[in-house]
Amino acid sequence: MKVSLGRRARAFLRSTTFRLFVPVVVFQLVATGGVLTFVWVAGQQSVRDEQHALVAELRDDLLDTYQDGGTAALKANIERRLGNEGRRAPVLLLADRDGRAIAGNLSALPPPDPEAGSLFETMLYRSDSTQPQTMALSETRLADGAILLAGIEIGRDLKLQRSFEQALLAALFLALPLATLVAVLTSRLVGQRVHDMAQTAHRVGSGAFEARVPLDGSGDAFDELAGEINAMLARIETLVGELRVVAEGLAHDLRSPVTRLRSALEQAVLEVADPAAEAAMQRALTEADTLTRILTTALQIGRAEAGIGRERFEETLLEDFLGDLAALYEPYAEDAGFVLRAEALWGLSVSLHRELMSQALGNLVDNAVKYAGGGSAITLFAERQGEQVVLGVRDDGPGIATDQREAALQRFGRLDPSRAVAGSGLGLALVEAVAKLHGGAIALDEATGGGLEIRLTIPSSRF
Amino acid sequence: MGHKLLVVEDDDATATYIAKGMSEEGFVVDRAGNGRDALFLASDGTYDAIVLDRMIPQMDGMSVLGALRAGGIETPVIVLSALGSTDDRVTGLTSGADDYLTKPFAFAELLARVRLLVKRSGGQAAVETRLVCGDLEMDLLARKVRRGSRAIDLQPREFRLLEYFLRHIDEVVTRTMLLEAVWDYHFDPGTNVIDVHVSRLRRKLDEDGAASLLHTVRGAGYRLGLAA
Repeated sequence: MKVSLGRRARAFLRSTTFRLFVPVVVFQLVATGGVLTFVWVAGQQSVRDEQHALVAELRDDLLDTYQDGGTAALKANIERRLGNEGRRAPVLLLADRDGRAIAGNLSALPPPDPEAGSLFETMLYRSDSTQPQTMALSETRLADGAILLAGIEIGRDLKLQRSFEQALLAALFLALPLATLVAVLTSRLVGQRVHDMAQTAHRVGSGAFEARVPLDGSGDAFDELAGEINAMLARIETLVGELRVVAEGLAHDLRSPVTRLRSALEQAVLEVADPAAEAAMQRALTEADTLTRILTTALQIGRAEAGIGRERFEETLLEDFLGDLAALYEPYAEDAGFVLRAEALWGLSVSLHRELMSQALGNLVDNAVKYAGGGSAITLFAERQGEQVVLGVRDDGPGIATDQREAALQRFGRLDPSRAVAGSGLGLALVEAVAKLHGGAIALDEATGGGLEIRLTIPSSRF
Repeated sequence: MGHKLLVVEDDDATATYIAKGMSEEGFVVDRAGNGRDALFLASDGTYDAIVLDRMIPQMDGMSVLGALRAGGIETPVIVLSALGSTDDRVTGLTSGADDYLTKPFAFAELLARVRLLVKRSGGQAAVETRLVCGDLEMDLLARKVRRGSRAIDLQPREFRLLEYFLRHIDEVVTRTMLLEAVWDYHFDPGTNVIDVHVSRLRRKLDEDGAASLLHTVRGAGYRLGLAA
């Protein structure tokens, strides 16, 4: 469970949706952050301008007092101002030409700073405070050489900072659902087009060579890709058609000499008198028939794999279908010591090629009769499995070891003990080709009770 | 007998073989090596049957067949083809052929089928309700079978098998013909599936030691008849 969750999580990390999600979140954050930073910087600037204007006003007011009443009046003004309690108490200092404080709430002049202009910001201790504070100050040298420092404490404007952070956080929270929405919508849009192509590829893969990707006429990259895929599919269809012609030609070319071979043997059998020679010719005739059978089966496999025969599919009631087949093989199976039965889910029907499917299942019954030695029952069955129909044959013989099943499924793959019986090589290959023709697959399984169960799983509703 | 047969086959060895075999069986045989000659010979409608290869020069077999049928020539045609799939078979039969045989074939198979075609075209059999062969009787309405005084109990499929034999008394019937007519399958079931059905039927018919009516014809198939 943990492993599968981890795998699913890794699969999600690789998914298009997630890959779109990440950059969208990043872009959203960068864009929002950039705008907010600009707003913050601009805001800071205007606050500072206002503070400086306040400082200048304070200084000008004090200088006016000095001009009107001299040092004494200025000192009185300073003390009056400091007496007023307020949230933003002014910072003031009047010092004589030697830097000694005459009045104000600063203990000393700040160290001279050549860089500073007449208006500057600095950190100083107020005489009534133990904490350094940031203040905006203006320094003016009076006519008598005294120095006037006038300014206000500006502190850190925490309030602005906090709202900036909140805005950034809000942007982040907004970015996540937006990015999810964009990622999901985009990947769904892209996914639908890609899904169309995958669907077409699947149909062609299962033999419907006439399938094409739908075009929307937009001429975009997807449309171009779809067009190219369609051109490729048209080429494949042509090639498969040519292959069919070649295969038929080959069949003709091979069958004609076999026909002549058979004719010659049949004639010779009538003409020879020597019983030994006649027996040999009868054996040769049997071999010619085996050769014919192999040719026919090989041709059928090729055709089924090329998807030829789909036009003959008919909706078939499986009960009757399996009943007929069982009736054909029943005496043969009984002679070999097996009870052959057909078990179909009542009313179950599926679209199939009656001849080919009969031959495939007949091959399986024949195989069971030959290889399920020790068993006593063979069952042709049809059952439903979700949207699919399973047709197959099970026996109660020795079965096939798990590690040999894969090999048994491979074309021409033969289980060693079975090679003694002729003609088994292509039988299973034909069954597999027939399953493929029906859009399904073949699987070997262990029947309940230990025998072999061969299952052809085919979709019940076709495209 | 002297039934007229046209063999259309471009492969000389096969054509000679068919012509020789059919002549020995009492047919009067003409040969055509290409589609144009075949159409020319067949269009006067005097043949009792035509053996037509599908792949022949100048005009393929199916076109010849189409032209004949379009011209109102209803001579029975058996198509020979190297295209062995059941789909080709169905195509052949739906485009006007009366029978279809895949190459390579046993001569006996071709002979049995040609005889069937010639006989079929010789006149429609009246609707029969009783089929008889010696002391074997089949009542098609009551669906009962008797041999002498003994009632024989048959499964539906065995009944159809016997009916087919009784409709072709003294004719050679091949395994493929039985598979097609009785079971309606056109594939090769591979093993001796049909043989087992026939020997079962034979056991039921001959139960009390009566002389066998169902004979095996070596290299060809079976024959129902009084003579061994």
